[in-house]
Amino acid sequence: MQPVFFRDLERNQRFLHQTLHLDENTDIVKRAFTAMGLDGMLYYVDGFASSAWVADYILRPLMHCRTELKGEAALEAATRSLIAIPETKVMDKPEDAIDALMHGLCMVLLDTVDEAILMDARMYVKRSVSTPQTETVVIGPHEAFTEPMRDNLTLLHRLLPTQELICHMDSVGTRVSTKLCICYLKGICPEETVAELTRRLHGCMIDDVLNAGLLAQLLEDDPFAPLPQVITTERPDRAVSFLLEGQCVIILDGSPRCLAMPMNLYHLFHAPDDSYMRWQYGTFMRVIRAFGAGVALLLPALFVSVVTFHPIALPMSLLTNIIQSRSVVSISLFTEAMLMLTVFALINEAGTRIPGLLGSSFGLVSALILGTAAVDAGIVSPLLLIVVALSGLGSYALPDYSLSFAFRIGQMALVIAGGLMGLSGVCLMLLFLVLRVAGMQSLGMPYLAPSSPRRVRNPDLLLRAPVYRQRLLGSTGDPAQMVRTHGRMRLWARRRAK
Amino acid sequence: MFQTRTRVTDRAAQKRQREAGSAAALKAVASAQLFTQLLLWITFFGYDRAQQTVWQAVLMIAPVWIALYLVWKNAGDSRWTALGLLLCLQLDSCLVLFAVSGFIGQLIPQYPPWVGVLIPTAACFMIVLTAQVRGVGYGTAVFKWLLMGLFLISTVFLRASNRADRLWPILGDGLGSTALAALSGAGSVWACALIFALPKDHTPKKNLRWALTPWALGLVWALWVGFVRPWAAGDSLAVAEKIMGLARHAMSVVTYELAGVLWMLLLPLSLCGCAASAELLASRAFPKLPRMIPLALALLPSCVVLLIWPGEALAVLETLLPWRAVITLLCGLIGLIRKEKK
Repeated sequence: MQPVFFRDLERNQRFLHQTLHLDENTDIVKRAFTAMGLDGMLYYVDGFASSAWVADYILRPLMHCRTELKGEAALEAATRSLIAIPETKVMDKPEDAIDALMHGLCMVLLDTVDEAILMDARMYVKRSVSTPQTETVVIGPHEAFTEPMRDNLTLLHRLLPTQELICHMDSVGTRVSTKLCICYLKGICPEETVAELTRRLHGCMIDDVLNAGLLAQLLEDDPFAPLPQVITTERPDRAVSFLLEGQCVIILDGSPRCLAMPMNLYHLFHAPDDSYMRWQYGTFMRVIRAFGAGVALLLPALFVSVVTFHPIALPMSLLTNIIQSRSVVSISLFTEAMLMLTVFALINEAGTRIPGLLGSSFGLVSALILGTAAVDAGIVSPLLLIVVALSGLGSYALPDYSLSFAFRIGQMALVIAGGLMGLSGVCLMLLFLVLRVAGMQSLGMPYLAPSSPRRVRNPDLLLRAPVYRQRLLGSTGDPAQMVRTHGRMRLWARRRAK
Repeated sequence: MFQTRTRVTDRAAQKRQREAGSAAALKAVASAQLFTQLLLWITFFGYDRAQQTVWQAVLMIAPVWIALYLVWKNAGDSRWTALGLLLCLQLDSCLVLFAVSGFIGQLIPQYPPWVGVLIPTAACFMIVLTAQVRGVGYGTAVFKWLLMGLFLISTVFLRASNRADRLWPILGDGLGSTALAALSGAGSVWACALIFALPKDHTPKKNLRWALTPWALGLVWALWVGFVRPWAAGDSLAVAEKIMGLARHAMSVVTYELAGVLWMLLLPLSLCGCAASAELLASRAFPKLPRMIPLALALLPSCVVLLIWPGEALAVLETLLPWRAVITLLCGLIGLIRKEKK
């Protein structure tokens, strides 16, 4: 590719014709015009730009200008006096200009001018802001990110109207360059965090990145770890809370989810409306969620291991019930449990993929046919069905989608260990999982911080303290900016007492 | 009132706090080692020798514990001290693996004995390989509260029918006999040295808490064992029967099972701690050594010994284990001398 544009419009046109494959690629609109006594050419991708804006704010002002100018003077006049598009820039490198063109900007080339004028007149079909799909709340905003990066940045700016919010544009992808924005709060987010994240982004050597999930897998510290090390969210309010804690947020064009780093395990357990409700209700929900997580992970394994290897630990009445219910089942409890967990995962996956119209009948089919009929046929026992259903409920109580997957995989691993070696196997596997998670890092920060290793923190890990006690930003932020408020938060209460 | 405070207001304070947090995790590993070794000594050797005065034997171990604490508090690093501690870790892992294999072998009699040796060895090797030293440290710090809770349940919720007069005669067979029993347990407190050797400590405060707590809990355990007298002296019991001896006097089946869970978590955690400590010490003494070698050296010899000589292992360990105190003291003195020379 030529390093710079030529002053000769015809040479530039020939170059662009070849580079953009214009004899085959009919999707790119070319419009020749005359302005300021010079020949000019307009290029844009059909459907990306608003024809009305192009006509009213680019072509008409240029074409109506009769003053004859050349070279730098023509460029200056065009960019400062004629073109009325707010976002206008000049590029001298064809590679950058073509990249901008393919991202939807309009490009104007003028004869005797060795630079291209790029203007943002984008107006394309896009989804409007809707409610979150995977992070629903009862109390709190119901907006979610959409695919266009610009709209997502607008949502962030609305919630954080501060000049400290830095949005640094970058791109990723060696063949197809996808735009992204690294957002952080200057003064709160440590510079080392931004530097490390930027280093990792620039070290991603992949041809294209279509989705934030793909980018997250390239950025995380350990791809073989059981839990994610990059948190994703589709909620702008959650992204803002990450920014306020000193994390970096990455918004990728074309993806309705943003990424945030560094993170810890507790981020996966916190739901947005924990903070919007009173501290008693938020704490109660977190305790229920932690209980659900424990049930999801351990209940099937404990059931299988205790019934198979340590039945004496159970009360006699329960043991009798279990023996009676299993008397008609022809397969071992371990096989039965693995079968049920696999079928449950299958139902989950099918429920996600099934078209919306059939979705309502799907639950009925799976519950009636697979559940009840399987019990009647003597394939599974009713008690195991209850255990699997409870553990499934527990996994659904987890607010993070990735975490529920991780728990389901861990659940199966624990069942295998329990089925093979009883409680000792469950304990060994539990040790493996906990120590493995404890050794994980996210952007160099220990995954179980701030509890292990112990670090200064807000009283907001498992139990949520009242808002006025949460005087610190998270443990990821700049220590000099760690205190949110000096003095009392509820100052009015003190004055009232006086 | 109740307003959250922080002393971290600048980078230097943040760095100090982070280093202190990492050091505390390594101290948790050492503390867990100390606790496990003390409990295992009481279970396998101490009670059989001292009976109801086993708690006095634990008290008599205190001078060894104090000597180790004072020597290692000021000792420096050297390759020889690392080698000495590696030897002690080797003996520790042998005893812990013996306990684990016997425990699993009795819980699941349908499996051959080598399963109880190989599976925990392989599992702990994989755990330390994947989680790394920091994972073992941070994970031990997470488990410490659960283990203390299970310890509380195992010691408090015992049948009230056990009477206080079981502690009589209060001196047992005499102080001399108790002192001899204590001598065999002197090596069980060697891990006090690890509290100083493992972390590159910038917060020398709170080391006493990490060293004292496991010894105090061991004393409580010994007191309960002496009080309850789970088996008569000279009884030939299997490993799991000895380990669960105190739990057999639990108030309910649930308490009994929870006591079993304490051992099922503590023993593998201690084995992982041995391997992780060996890796850390070896990597400091010999930086170019691949990390799998100290891991393998910490676990494999014990595994091989128990596979080939399972019956003789305990007798050999009974002879070798007390020497850990001597080795550690010597290493500490060498470390002191080298530090003063510098």
